[in-house]
Amino acid sequence: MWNRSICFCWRRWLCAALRSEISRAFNNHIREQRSPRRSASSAPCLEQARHKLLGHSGCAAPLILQHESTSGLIVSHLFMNCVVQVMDSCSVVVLDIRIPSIPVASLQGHEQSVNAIAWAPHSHCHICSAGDDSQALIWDLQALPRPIEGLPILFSAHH
Amino acid sequence: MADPILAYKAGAEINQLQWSASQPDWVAIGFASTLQILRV
Repeated sequence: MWNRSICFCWRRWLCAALRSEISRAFNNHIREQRSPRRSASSAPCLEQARHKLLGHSGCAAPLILQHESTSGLIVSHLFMNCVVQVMDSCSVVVLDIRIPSIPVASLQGHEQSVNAIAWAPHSHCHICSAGDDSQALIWDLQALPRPIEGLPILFSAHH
Repeated sequence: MADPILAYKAGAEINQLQWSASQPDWVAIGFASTLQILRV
């Protein structure tokens, strides 16, 4: 179903860059989580993602990214630097696109796979998700740590 | 995070979800052959 419906994509060049960076960084994160020892393997990828995304970090327009496969990632609306991913399992992951390898939150209330998610139109911290377990859940993200403001990297130009 | 602030149980698997931009108090869900509009 997702393959059919999530194919609309404007600003395709940005979508493609975002998608590959986010999925690569996220895969790295999953790999790190699975291995008991944390490694620094995601660092170069993270830097690349930052470079690519810094210029667009203020973008709050809805942005739908193409779905990679039925068992892959679904990236939904971009809102104030945050995207929401639905894994093929029952968890919804919120990412800050400037630091895509570290999920901002993982929402684990569904018992079966999630089919749809939506940001609240009037609030930056509410998400609704619905899935195969017949449940529609509304989440409050207010309790999460604030997204990082400003540039993550600073250069000083004095000599 | 494991606890949503609101939960609704529909009659079947929910396939579609839309949160109205002009009426933010209402969320529409689609399941089976039914469309339901929920008040948040």
